[in-house]
Amino acid sequence: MNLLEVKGLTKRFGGIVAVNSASFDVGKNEVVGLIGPNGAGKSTLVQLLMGIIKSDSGEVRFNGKDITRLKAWQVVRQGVAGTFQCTKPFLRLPVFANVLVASSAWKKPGQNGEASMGKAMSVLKKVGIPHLAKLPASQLSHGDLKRLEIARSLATDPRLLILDEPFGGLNYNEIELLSDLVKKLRKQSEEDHPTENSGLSMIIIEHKLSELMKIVDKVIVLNYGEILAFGTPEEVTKNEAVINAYIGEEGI
Amino acid sequence: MLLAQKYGQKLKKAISIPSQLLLLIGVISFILIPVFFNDPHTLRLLIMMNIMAMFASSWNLVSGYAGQLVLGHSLFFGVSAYVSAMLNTNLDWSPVASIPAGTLAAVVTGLVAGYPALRLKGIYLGLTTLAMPVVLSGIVIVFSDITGGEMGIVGVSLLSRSRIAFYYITLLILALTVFAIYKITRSKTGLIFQAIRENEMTAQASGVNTTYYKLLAFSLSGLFAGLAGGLYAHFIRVVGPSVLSFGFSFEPIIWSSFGGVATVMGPVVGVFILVPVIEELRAVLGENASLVYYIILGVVVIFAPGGVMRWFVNRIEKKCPQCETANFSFRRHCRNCKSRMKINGVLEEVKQS
Repeated sequence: MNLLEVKGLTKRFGGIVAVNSASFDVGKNEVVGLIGPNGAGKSTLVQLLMGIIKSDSGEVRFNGKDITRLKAWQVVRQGVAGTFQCTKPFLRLPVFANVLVASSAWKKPGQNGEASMGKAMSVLKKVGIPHLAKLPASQLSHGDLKRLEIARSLATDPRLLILDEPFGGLNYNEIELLSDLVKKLRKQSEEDHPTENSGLSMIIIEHKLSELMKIVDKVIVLNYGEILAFGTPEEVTKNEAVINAYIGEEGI
Repeated sequence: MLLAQKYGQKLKKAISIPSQLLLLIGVISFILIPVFFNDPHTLRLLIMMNIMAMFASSWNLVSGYAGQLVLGHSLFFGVSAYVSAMLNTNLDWSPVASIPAGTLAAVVTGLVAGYPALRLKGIYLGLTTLAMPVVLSGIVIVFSDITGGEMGIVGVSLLSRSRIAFYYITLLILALTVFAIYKITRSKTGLIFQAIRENEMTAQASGVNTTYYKLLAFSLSGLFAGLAGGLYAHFIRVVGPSVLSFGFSFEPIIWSSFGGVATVMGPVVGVFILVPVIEELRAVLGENASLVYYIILGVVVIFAPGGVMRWFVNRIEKKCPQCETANFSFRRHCRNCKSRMKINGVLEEVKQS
């Protein structure tokens, strides 16, 4: 059984079909890239998964449980956490408080206030911004905000982490740091959770294909709301339809 | 002896922080005031200040901290005032029972008024809540045989015959209210309130049950506003539609903005300054009082947008750049780590090394 199973997921906005009958699955400890031209429905698709917008038809099963109709906060509690494309932190709250909200949002078995604080600090360390903990989020640079978003998502103890354009608007240096972070998260989850019933899977939306292809196991290509291709990076980059629609003749 | 020593040290630690010393002086002086000024007029003003400070604090909780803009806050105050007055006059409930009953009604009203907040945001929520007390005052006038109509309910019994006792009761309840709000805002609940204020979507994406916390903010606000309303009814002894008016809805917003929105003491400070000021202005200037009043408010909004309390505390209190201990701003060296307080002082040290 796969961790995430999506079957025939469809969303219409008026006459536009943003996501048309999308079906795919994400395995345990798997990193999946989601690519496609602007307006292809990538963000809509992940927001459907996160429960932020409601689908018209189709089914999302996570860990064997139907989460299609759950509210956003219920989906998070099932173990699906995501970042937003435009970072939306709690601007006037300190960085630490931003993460603390996520680590203490609901009562987990055997977790007290101190444990939530520890958890918040440890995820800040994981993404590399513990020195900014006391600053209000409004004073952070764009790259640090992206990391704060990831820290906030990680603080909810997700099994599936969805990153919506983590490299968007960053310079090469920052991209390298962040892609190292993603690799590190993945390695850590493989080391910490060798068993089947834990670990961290990821879905990453990104336009910077050269960076993305290095860190993913599988790629989903979306075009006009439909899944054009779904396979390993090698398969996808050779797929003619994908080259025509998105990558172009020059390749990556 | 040991206990005294322990608390002595605690006290010494507390009053070395300027803002806390100020708070302590404030509390002691308000405990002592009736000893020196015990004419009925002053006591009446002081009691009203206590009640209105509770009312302003309750608005600050739902709108300042949780960010759910309520423009019709007199709804909670009014519901509680009417319910306790009606129970008292029609059913002969004693104030000790009718005030909690009115407060409970205000909590339930909070849950009802919070329902639109689950779908509406910002000014749209504000306008919806603005209409609520107006609708209720219409209902009050329609059912005038039990509500007294435009004349209101008269002959509500006093909670206490002695004004001095009444003053201490309201001061105690105000202190408990402020302490409760302080505890709430420093807790996980307060953190989540502020997270919802900053960005509701992100709060949901962090796993926060926003429905629960928004309704909690409304009902807690209803609780404190309801306490104020019940005490008011049993002090003024007349409850009319004026407690549901537009003007009265805006008062807590003005007081809180003047003192400092989203600070625990801000609304209290706002009430304790503005209520006596408008009273004095009316006595001296008569009709022109509101003009001066609004000029004062305008000046504060322009020069101290965070409220007078933050402005004043920033003047007397400076944080040490090294260890972040709060110091009196006149100190040149930090009382904790002894480093220079001024930023240019730090620069000098850097130059020397």
